[in-house]
Amino acid sequence: MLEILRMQLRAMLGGKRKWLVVLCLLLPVLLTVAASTSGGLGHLRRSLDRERAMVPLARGELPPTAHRVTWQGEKLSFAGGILVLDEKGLRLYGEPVGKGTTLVVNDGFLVVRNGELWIDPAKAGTVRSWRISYVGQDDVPAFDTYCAIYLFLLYPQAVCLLLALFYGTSVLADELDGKTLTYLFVRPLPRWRFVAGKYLGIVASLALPTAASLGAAWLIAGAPGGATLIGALLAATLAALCAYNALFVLFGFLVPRRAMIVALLYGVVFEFVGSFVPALVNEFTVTYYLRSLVARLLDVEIPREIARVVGGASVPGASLALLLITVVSLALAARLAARREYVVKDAA
Amino acid sequence: MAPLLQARSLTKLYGTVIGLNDVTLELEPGVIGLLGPNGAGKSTFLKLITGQLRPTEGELTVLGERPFGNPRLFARLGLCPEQDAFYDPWSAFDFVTSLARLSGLGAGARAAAERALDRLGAREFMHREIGEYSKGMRQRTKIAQAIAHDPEFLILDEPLTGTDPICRREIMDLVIELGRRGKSILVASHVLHEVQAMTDQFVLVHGGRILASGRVQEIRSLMNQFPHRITIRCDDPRGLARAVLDALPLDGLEIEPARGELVVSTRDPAAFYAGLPDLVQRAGCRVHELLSADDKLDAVFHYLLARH
Repeated sequence: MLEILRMQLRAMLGGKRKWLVVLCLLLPVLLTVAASTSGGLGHLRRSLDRERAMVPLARGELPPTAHRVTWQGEKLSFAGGILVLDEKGLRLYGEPVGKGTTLVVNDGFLVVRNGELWIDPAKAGTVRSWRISYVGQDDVPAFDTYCAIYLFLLYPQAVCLLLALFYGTSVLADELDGKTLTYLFVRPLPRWRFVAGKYLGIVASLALPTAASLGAAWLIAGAPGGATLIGALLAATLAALCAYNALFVLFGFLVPRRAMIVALLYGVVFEFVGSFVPALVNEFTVTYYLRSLVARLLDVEIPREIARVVGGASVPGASLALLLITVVSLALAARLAARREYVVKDAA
Repeated sequence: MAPLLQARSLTKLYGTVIGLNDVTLELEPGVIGLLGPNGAGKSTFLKLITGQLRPTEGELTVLGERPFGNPRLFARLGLCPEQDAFYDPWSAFDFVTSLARLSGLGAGARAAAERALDRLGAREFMHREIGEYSKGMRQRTKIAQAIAHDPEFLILDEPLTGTDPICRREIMDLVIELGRRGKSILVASHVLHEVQAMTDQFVLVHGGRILASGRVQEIRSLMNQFPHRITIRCDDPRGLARAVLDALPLDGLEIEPARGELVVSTRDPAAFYAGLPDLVQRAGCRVHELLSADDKLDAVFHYLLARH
């Protein structure tokens, strides 16, 4: 198995696809450099400071437009849920909105704190419509939290998925297309070791450069959140590499010639969209547990109303789920490898 | 002595296409040629023997074991596949060493790889990248990985394809020598005289069926009714044509100067191949490639098929 691992490492270091990896790992760093140098991150920090400076308004003091819409029991949609403001007070998904909920409306900040509506005086006159764009915590989210979300979306969510798409799906296809599988499958080596060796080779060769890229982006962003934040993101990145690659290795053995397109569809439909569908669907996605893991490790309080959407699993629960996804995927891939016929096409 | 290979009603279907049809066969240890035109079922048979495919029906044992996914058997097998495939940025030495490790040689893999490559005359180039190799060098590398772990049963699929006369001779000598040392070797080819130079035992396959098995002399006479076409790619086809014209048994000769090719027809390929190296040397000509399409073999198989 060690030899298969070594061969995989060598194939990855020498293969043409290494430039895709370099691109995948360089782009987020460049994006962060651009955000820092263009003042984007500074602007975010200033916006958050302004939000903190908001003053409370009595109900009757709301701007006329806002007042009319708000106090007549208007229903406002948000991400499939319903926000209702009537004589019973403000409710989201039928649950009363009280302490622990912040609503930011349009460009102007309209905030519910402790059951009262707050607004940024400078923006009060500009509020024209009521499309909810953000539901968060009672306290104004810290700059660090935004950075954590930004880096989470870049690395565990996007980069790891892409890298697994390039390598996890190709474990078998590369050997079939290169017609080298014959050399490996006629050796006194149980096929599960072939699967395990290839998989470990991929994870081992991707883990360090991905962690380095994440570390660089974090440093460029000003090292927000200190060791806790980078630790949580590193854990999620490693977990994402392990889980996505295991899953895509399984796809590689299920449909060797079409694994990449199947994995791409899976990534878009299931991991991006499905991970936000509550009621069990999202609990079958890797993303849901990665989000849970990072949120718990960073001690970010996710409101009860949206925890089932964003990620409500505990650290042990999320870790166990990710481990299960990884192990079960690899076990199924090994079983397929042992039972199915995988043969290179004849030269003739 | 236990049979090398036993097949009983062995059938392999690819969906509705028959790859191998109801084959019953028993082979004793030794050097055996597996002959058949392209598409005859040789590759399917070899893939079944080497455990890459599972029989659809019937039974197959190799060295007393069922082959599919059987690591115990694979420790005793060596396979030189037909496809010209490698991990190209690697050298022959790295390639053979890695595969020898996978064959369970561990710390002895490097020495075994060096020995095998040396035996194939690859010492000079074994540390260069495979991408730079000629066809002959690549064939030598493929055979080296098959013999590095000293298997009991060696399977060579079209081992002489695209090789020059010297390389061809060396590979044939290797097969003969390994056979004398008690190894069992199955050589698959669509060229009768190639196999004939290594063994007189054969299995003849056509249309997914075994047409005949036994001594090669039986079909030699049949083969002689059909001239063999041999294409020689060299730097001086006219010079070589002059040299071979009267010296070797020929039925026809064509020169393709634009492609640097000399195409000859002969009813006595064995004599032609035996005499060619000396004439090449005398003509001072460099041969790049020697190809025998041997398309007339198909006609012989049809003839045998009709007789069955």
